Amino acid sequence: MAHRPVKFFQVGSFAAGNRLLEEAERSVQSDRERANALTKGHRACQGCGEALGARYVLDAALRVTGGKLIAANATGCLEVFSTPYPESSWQLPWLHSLFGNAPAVASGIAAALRAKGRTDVRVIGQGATAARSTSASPACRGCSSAATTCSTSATTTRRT
Amino acid sequence: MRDQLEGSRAIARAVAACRPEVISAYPISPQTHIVEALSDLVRTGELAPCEYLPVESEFAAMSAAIGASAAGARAYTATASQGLLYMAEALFNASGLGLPIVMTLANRALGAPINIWNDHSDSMSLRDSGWIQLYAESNQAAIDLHLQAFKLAEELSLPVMVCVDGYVLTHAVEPLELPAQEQVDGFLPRYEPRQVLDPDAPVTIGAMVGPEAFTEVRYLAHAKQMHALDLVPEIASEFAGAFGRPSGGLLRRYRTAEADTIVVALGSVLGTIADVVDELRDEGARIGALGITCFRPFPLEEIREALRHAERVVLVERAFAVGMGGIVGQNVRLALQGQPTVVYDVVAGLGGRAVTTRSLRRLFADVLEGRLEPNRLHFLDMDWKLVERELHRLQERRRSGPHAENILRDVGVIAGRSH
Ligand code: SF4
Repeated sequence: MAHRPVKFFQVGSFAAGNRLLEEAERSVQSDRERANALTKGHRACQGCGEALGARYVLDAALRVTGGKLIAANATGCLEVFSTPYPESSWQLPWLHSLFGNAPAVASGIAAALRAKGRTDVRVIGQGATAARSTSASPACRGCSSAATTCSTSATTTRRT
Repeated sequence: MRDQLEGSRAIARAVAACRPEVISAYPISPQTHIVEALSDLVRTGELAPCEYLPVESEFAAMSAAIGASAAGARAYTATASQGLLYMAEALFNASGLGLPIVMTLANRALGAPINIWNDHSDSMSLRDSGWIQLYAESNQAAIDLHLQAFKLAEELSLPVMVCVDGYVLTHAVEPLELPAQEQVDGFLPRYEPRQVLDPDAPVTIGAMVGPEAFTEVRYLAHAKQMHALDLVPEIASEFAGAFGRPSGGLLRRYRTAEADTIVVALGSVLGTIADVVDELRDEGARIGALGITCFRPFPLEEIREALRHAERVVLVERAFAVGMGGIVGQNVRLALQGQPTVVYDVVAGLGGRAVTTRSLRRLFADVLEGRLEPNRLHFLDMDWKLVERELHRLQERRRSGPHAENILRDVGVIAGRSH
């Protein structure tokens, strides 16, 4: 993607955005085509890398699958900040089971889709157990998630 | 259709007739023949459409079943013993999420000491995992309970564990009535999930719930299990209508009419108990037996009613809580609250020790003739000499060595002198 400087435009509601700018000047955030898999209002820390990373991956995956996507999330910050009752930021079908089983859960979802002949739907699973943070972890500074399980980097797509 | 075959293969055929769409399993004795047979049925295309996932562990088996069930597929797995413990975390997750997975548990002891033979330590250790637990008395019951389990699980949106005694049932070859596919199709409707991962109608399954609603969500799981107390007998009578034989239900009474002594047990040991009850009835004793088919939810009222006129209740348990005593006994005592009934707790058949008619006769004679102390934990056929020798060794020296090795030396399984 070509570099494009971010230009914000404050609207009446005090929300910052640049959708009112000319098409050519808009940043990716305000792209009309943005899928926004993980919508606003969640409780991640400001500037959370996991939230951004997850959204970029999911947006891209939604794009290539034409919106036919199911997500299997592991326990961790992403699951916690995106779903506390009674809100969900997830704009796609989403399942959270446990800390260490997202890949197996994703395999189960994929198997169910195969059995049902849903070849149009893809599954995206989070590889939590394979992504225990190390000192070289790309987590944001002071990220409490990095101390336990940070998993965005290991997110993989599985074909059904 | 009547056929002579191994219990495991019969269970596999019954499960296949229920048309599971995803089976994920890891083999472990004595469950292996069940999943082997199912994988064969998938391979040959006899069971289709169905995806068989040979996963890398029991934890993955249950996890894949969770994913499959949430994606709207009828999901099945099977395990035993250590395998059940290995999937423990996922068991609570499956029930908490309300996913109607059906699992066969080929009951086997838990280590240590490692032991592959039959008792109920495995299922009893996870009795409160939120799964419905049904116990099969015979291989015919095992077949029939599986058909009912899928219906029950899906009506309630709760997982069901069908407990089948390892080896005693799973490896016994006998003539069995196998259900015809059309019969099963008539009995078990297509699975209509209450919640499903669907890109056309996205939902969030497994969201975090804080103190503001956690109690309510947990209560709903309890409410569903309480509803099962009505549903289990309803499904059993529907089953009897469709298949022409009684099977399932919460409890099974055996000659309890006018019985002053009732023996309570779960699983295959009930067959041996029934034989001894017959003998003793012939000799004039007023004895009967009560089989608990549905242990979770616990049919408190129904058990109270079934034992109301008994003066003595003898629990024959295939597991026990170390440091406490009988597990079924604790539950049955709740049902007997306020009643003058005398309760005897007897642990029997641990780690595959045979529960024989001769030992049971001796036990019931001791109860009937007042030689057994009530409200104390008893062990059928316990070799107290062996135990005392080891207890003595513990006192004698600090480095007394491993119990299992010492005891095996004493019984002569291992050559050489004990410590
Ligand atoms: S702790 Fe780290 S991963 Fe968690 S929300 Fe904050 S920045 Fe994001």
